[in-house]
Amino acid sequence: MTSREWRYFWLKLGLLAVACVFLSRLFFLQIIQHQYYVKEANAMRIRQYELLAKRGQVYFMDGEEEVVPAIMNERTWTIFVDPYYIIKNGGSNGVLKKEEVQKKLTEALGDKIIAKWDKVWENEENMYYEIAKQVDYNTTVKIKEMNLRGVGRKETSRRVYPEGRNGAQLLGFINAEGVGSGVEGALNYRLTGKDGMLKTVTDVNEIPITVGDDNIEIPAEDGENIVLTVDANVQRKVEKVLENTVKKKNGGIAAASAMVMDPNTGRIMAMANYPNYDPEKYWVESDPNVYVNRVAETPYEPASVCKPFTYAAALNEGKLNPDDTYNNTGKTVVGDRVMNNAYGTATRNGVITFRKALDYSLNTGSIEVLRKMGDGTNITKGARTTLYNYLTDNFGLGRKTGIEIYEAAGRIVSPEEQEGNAVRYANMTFGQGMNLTMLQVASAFSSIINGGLYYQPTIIAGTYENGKLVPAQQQPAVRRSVSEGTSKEMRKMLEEVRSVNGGANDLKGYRVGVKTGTAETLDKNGRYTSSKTVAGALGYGGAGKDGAMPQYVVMIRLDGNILLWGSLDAIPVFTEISNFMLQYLRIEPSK
Amino acid sequence: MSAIYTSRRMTSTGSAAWMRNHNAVRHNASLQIGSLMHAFILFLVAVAIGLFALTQGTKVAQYDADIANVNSEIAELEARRDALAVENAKITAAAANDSANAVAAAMTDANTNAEFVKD
Repeated sequence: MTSREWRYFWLKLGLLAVACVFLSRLFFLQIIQHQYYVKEANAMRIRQYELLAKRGQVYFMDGEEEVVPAIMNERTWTIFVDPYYIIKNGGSNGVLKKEEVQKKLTEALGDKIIAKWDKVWENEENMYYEIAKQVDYNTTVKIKEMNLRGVGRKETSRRVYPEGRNGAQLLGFINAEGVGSGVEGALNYRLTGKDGMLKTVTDVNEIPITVGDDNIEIPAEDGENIVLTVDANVQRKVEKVLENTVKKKNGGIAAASAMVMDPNTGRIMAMANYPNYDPEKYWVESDPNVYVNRVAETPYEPASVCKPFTYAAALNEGKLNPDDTYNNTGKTVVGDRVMNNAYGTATRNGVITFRKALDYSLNTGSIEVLRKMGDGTNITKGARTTLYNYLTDNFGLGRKTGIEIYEAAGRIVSPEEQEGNAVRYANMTFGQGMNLTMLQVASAFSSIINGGLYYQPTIIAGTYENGKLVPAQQQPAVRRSVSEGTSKEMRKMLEEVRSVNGGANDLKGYRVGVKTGTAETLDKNGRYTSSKTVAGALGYGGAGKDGAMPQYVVMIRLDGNILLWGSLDAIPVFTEISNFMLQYLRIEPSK
Repeated sequence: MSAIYTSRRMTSTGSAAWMRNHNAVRHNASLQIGSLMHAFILFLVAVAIGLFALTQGTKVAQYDADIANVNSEIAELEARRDALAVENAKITAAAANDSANAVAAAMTDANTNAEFVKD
């Protein structure tokens, strides 16, 4: 080879060597360390976002087909600042000085500011400090338009209750730990959605790039929008009536509750308690008892509103003819106790029919009915067992109804227990000596006036999807509690009761039945006292002349700080709600 | 410039000489390029293809940026819609409550004209 050829040779060899070095390095980086660099690259360009599921909203019915929101989601924002950025760049590059930022934010946010400004600027290395939480849309837009550099916003959400305090205990709330009350707590498992996930390659501005094999999107599943059977118009009315009743009594009523239900389906049309609270600010309440939905969660002794159960059981067993008579002396001896009629009923003493005994709510009458369920003279174990079976198995009292919200079971003492003696059962015939919820009592009452069918009470009408109500399937009756004949006779008797219990104030031409109750309460020594009573009224309306069943059942409970009477204090509340229902449901007069 | 080119096939005898390959002329470029120019041309092609790929990729990123902007506007409008829906629901409920109060006030006290039973 010539010298020139040699030079070319060495040049080529050199270039080849350099190429080999490069190739080796590339081999090392791209093959040997492939996984490491892929991981490094992904860490820089792949971002994972949580796609938050929306909590389901809750609706009331508004008539038969429309709905109105009862609990909604409102988007809110947390406003934060970056003290490090603002302090470092303040006064240059379009970044305002911290004093100017502070002034502008104070003007925009006003009393929503939760931070103390001196604390905000205290740590100059801090890059995140929350200034205000749950800021509404309009204020957030105002701040955004200020274009303040170093100020950010983070979207959050909160529950709002357009109806205010209406239905507060029924709707309830849920706290940050997921513990709650009412519908919010009990139906949390349906209202809570499932968060999704977006894993995507992003550009330098962290904007997701749609191409690429590394993108994973699992959409969020929003919670169910639940429609309650509660009618907003009925609920508003009941709430207002309770509020007025309590206020009129000037402290005489400690608490008032009411419910309205459809006896032919078990659907709850209203469920109200007073005093109530603002569920949007539930934390300001000092007394947690105000959160309790007393209709379903607080068992009590309902007293004489339970007498129809004793009568219905005896009628259904063929042991009672309402027109039979007994000698009412105003009192009767059971075991070692003398049991009296309520004060003020002495004018009814003498031979009286059982029908009249119910009209005037005589305790002696219902005790006599229980005797007739036994051997006619004594409260035998057989009579007690029969009554117990009716109360529990047929009427579902003293046990949970199965409604979708929180409820208490209450208690009825079995005749098999030592406490289930004749004295207790005599008391139970007029609704003392057993602990029941209003929900249980109203559901059982519905079954004895609707033709004899027990429907499980329900609060859920369906779901709200794509702007439409998707009705829940109507559940059939759970069981027959009494015969149709017994039910018919009970309606007749209860309408007679109504005729001497405020019936004159019913809208003309309507058939309304009712039973009142005045329950003594236990004093500090565990003895019954009438200085503080619970007044109640339980009735129905809207029965048609052609045999159509009643259209609504109303139950009232007034817990007194004083002696309250069912027939004096609870009946006017019943009447006002009942008359409203007759008009609201557009029921035709039947007589 | 072209030159007559006699292929080996044409010089052969027999039927094989007239089979389908009829290449009879070979182009001889007047300009010859060396290996460096070859490499340079290949480099230019690679750059052109690279630029093309880059512009296409950038276009996708631009689309994504546009999508992100539109999504941001949608989120803003949804937020506004939700805020208005909440306001609307509150006003409607308040009006309904006022109406219920007016009806309640118009109703006479029901606690009159009745014979009461002490129970």
